[in-house]
Amino acid sequence: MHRVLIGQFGTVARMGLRELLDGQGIEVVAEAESAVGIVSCVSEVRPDVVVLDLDDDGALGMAEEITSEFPAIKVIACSCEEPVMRVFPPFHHGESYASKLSAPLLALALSS
Amino acid sequence: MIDERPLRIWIDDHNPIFRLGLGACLEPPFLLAGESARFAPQPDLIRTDILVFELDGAGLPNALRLTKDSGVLLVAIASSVEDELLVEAIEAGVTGALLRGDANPNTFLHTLRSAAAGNGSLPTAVLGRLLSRPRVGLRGAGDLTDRELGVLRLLSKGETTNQIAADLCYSEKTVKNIVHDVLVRMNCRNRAQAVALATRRGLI
Repeated sequence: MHRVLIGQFGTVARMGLRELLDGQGIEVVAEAESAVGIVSCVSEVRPDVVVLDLDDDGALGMAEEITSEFPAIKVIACSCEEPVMRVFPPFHHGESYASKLSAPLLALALSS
Repeated sequence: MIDERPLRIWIDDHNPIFRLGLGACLEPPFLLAGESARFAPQPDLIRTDILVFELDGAGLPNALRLTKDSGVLLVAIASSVEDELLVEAIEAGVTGALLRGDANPNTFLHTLRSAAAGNGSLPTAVLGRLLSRPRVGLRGAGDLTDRELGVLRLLSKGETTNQIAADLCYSEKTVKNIVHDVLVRMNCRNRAQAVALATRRGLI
């Protein structure tokens, strides 16, 4: 089962993500306290998946940084406003695709 | 807590993460009755005491229409304090409102408790805007013609001028004139407010 690191999110969104992950039996290994410390947090806990807040202006840059430094890690940036997410598959040189965001789709993206 | 009777909350939000998060904020006496995105699936209002919905152009008239005469209380989640719909929502009978960016377990539960106790709860900034606003009324609303009511009904479904013109076989210009007359008669500033007021007063 994949180990997930949750980036910085608003309180409600964070609770929603935890609810979704717990419901799927997915393990959250760490939650970043701030956007700044996230890369060092990634290098420390070595998760399989990092979930970022797509509404955060720095999210895409952060995703690029993580995927270039840790090519085996998958990054999923989820919006908490619109029902959309952007998935950066592992070993794809930071390439990404946008997808509709629903609980089952996110669970699938996280665990596949 | 004033009343320990369980209160069932239905949460409508089109973002699944935010929706799940709001549900996870609930604690007794509040129970999650169900959830939906843009009212799909349609909320089961028989088993709901408070409907939490997203305040946008479609959300407000839909929430008002669904809960009309049901006794279900409405709590709106608004994106911005500048949102003109927020004032309209309050005037249309929405009991409480919360800004999306301010939402956390404390503020959400506070808003629900206030609504349940019969006291409205509003972001302070909204209260100021509400108080400084010129009063609007529904003077002369009884004079709306069937044609005007028909257009209002279509507006409440979120149709554009174009679509209404096509539906009713009028020209766009005619539809615009009718909408203008409706706004003047209802003393409303825009279409959304006219729809909200008309829904509340049971005109449509």
